[in-house]
Amino acid sequence: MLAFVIRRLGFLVIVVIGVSMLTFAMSHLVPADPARLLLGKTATPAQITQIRRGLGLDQPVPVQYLIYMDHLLHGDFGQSISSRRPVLSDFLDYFPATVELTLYAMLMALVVGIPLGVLSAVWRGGWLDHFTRVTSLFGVSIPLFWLGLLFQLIFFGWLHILPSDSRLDGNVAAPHHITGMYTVDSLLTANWPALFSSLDHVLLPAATLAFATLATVIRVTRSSMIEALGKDYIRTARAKGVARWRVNVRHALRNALIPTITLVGLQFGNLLGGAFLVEIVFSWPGIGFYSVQAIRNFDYAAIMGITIIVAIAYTVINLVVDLLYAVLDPRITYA
Amino acid sequence: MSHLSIPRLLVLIAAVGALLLAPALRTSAASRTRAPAPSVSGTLTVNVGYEPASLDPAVDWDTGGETYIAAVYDTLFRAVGATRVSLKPGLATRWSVSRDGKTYTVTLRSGVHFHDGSTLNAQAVKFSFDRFLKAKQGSYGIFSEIKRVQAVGAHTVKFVLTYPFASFPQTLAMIDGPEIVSPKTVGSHQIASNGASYLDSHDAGTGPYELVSYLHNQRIVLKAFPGYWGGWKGKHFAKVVLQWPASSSTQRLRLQQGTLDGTITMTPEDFAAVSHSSGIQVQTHTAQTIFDVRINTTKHGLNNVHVRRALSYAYDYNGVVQGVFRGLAAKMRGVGPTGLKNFFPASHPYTFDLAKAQAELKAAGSAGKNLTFTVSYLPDDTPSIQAAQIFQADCAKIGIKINLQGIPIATYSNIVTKPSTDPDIWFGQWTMDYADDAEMYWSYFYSKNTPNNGANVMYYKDHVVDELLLKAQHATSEAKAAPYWKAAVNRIYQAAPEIWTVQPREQIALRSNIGGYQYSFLFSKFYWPVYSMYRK
Repeated sequence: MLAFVIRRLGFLVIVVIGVSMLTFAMSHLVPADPARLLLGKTATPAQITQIRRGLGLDQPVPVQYLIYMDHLLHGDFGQSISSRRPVLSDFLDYFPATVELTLYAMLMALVVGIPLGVLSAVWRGGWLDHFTRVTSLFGVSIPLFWLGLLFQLIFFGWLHILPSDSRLDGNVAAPHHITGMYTVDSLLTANWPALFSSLDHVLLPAATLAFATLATVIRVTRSSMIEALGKDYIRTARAKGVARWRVNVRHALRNALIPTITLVGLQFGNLLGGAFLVEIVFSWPGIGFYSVQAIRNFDYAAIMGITIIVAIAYTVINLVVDLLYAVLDPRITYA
Repeated sequence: MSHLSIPRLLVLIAAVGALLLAPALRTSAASRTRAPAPSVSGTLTVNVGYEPASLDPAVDWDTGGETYIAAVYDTLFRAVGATRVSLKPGLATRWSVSRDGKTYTVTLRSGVHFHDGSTLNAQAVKFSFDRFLKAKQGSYGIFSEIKRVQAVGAHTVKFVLTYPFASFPQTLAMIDGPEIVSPKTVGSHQIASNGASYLDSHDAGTGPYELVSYLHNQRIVLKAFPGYWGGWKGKHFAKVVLQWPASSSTQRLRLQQGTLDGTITMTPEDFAAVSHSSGIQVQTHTAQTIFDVRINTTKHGLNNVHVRRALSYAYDYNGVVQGVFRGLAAKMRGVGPTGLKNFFPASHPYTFDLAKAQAELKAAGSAGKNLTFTVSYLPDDTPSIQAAQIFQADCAKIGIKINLQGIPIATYSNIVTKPSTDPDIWFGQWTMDYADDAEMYWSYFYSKNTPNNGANVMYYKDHVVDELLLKAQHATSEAKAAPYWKAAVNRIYQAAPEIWTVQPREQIALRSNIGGYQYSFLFSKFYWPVYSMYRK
């Protein structure tokens, strides 16, 4: 197991180098001058030259890359042109909001998707099965931004029960920063107004983001449950007189969950991608929101920093999912 | 490792789900109640468009920060007016200028206190300008003529300039840059070279509101400053929340629900929709921003004045006003926007006339034949894209082929620095920083103000115009400068280095129960005059 983890961490280094080279090359193919953007329209040529020298932009591109990687190894992702702050500080501000949104979306997809998938398999061909099929089709077909607007219209515009955007009500102070995830921080600090307000605010964007994943979770859980329910050990368990719910849940579902867990890992990446759209619709100040601004402003340090960090996050999530297999299925071992 | 049993896992998931869903059934009553209204009460929530890049007036220079900076800080003078701009006293009550036009003496208002309790004096003004000019951030380039600032008495300040600059008092009324900050609060906190500033999280102003909290990337909360020198007679808001919701549909819904009192960045469709909603008013104001077409006068064909005039006659001004701006714009009548100082309407303005365009091409001789140009614009500048498409079709009718190309701002700001890479024709926008068209004349048409020094992206060069602009720029008074500006502008207009197209109108949507809103012609829709606003 340890050797496996070390090997995978080695792959992580290769991924980071590959992603950094690719994004660096692409950023420098664009005929734009970050120094001019950083200084603004009243900058003098002398100032631009000075900043270019300071940023190492007067060096050949391979040298610039090495300088960038050297800074990266020291935790310096550069400075954002838009916010005028270190990219890492921006990232630490924005990323927890995305993680929070993604976790709640995943949680919702699992809370609703797994039971529906199980019940669809148990009552195959019944009305619930047909209903989940239609729901799944709807979920994978509908554009997220449109669904978000629809949710806003219904739950904020018509029913007045949920807020339309942002992370907190205007009259509620942000909880003390611990993780940057408001629901967690407010819970840890017993800040109940902030907890309820942040839960209020995360519900609609998370539900929007969850929808496509929910459809996939239902379908995958249903198919693997059907497969598991046809196995010999299930027949044996039934023949022994084990209660039906116990057979379904303890014997069948446990094995059927492995593909779902795989899916959860893969879907995390998709959720991060989907968060870009959802964050714009709901003015959710996460990494998607930040990245869109960075791309529009050609904030090249921010674009590169975020790309590298997200690549690392994606790789780590996949590693965690692989390790979870062993937890769920003792037959799986890693050499 | 012990395994979590599946039923327990499901129960846990269901419990968390129930916790998640519970708030949905509970209306957040606290957020929707309003306190009863004595004269200073209630909360105003407005959309300022974008998150400010900085809360420090010496660093910030973007439209998103205008409302915050103007609410928390004061300038020596104020530029006010919805259609024409006039200069009013701010922290200074009057000014005088020396005979050589190089020294401005400003008298400060007495009895003004900063939010930290300290008193405004000449030393504070000197401190503020020294700090701003030393930092070389934001709009400092506009103030490069300042040689030194002297405190010559408790309430008297002298600005010594390197050359006479008649528009100087106008620049002192800008938002972003010349605001006065408290030396006591700022202390020894200097602005870092990367723009990071102590005032991003602290407030050092004298304005009507003081900073309560800044929730990065979400909102800024202000509260009324009881010691404000302007006083609190009449109705005002006790609290102001500045936000920047990105989605137009969100803004529309929140405005209709009353959780947003005013907004500015909705799509035209959403403005049209809310204009029919009860409880919402949509105002339309002529803006000082102009849409102009900049012609690279060094390129083959475009270096011929007749070809440039032909292009001015081939632009369908009214078609763009109606088709692109839905009537929310007016054809420009001169080189700059109307409403500011030193605007001079053209005696014979260009009109959409393809016959005249053909005649100009004929007058150009061989330079007017077989012409192909590339028209460029920002990829997200929808009005310019649509106007360029109309222009392309009309130019085809007079035998000029136009290719269209979107260029991101990052690329544009780089390629524009050389005439050889500068786009043939650029569809852009320009907004004046202070209340004088002369800012544009000087920056755009003085031959040495090419992109490394100014905004002459046309690479326009006329030594007669240069002489006139120099005399105007260095005149000792606005009255003495005006004839030179006018002569220069008339000559520039005939040379047609640009097509001066339209001056748009801006839309603002407000809850009907909000009073006291006054549009600012100079600072545009992004500036909310929160001090004068109140709930009816």
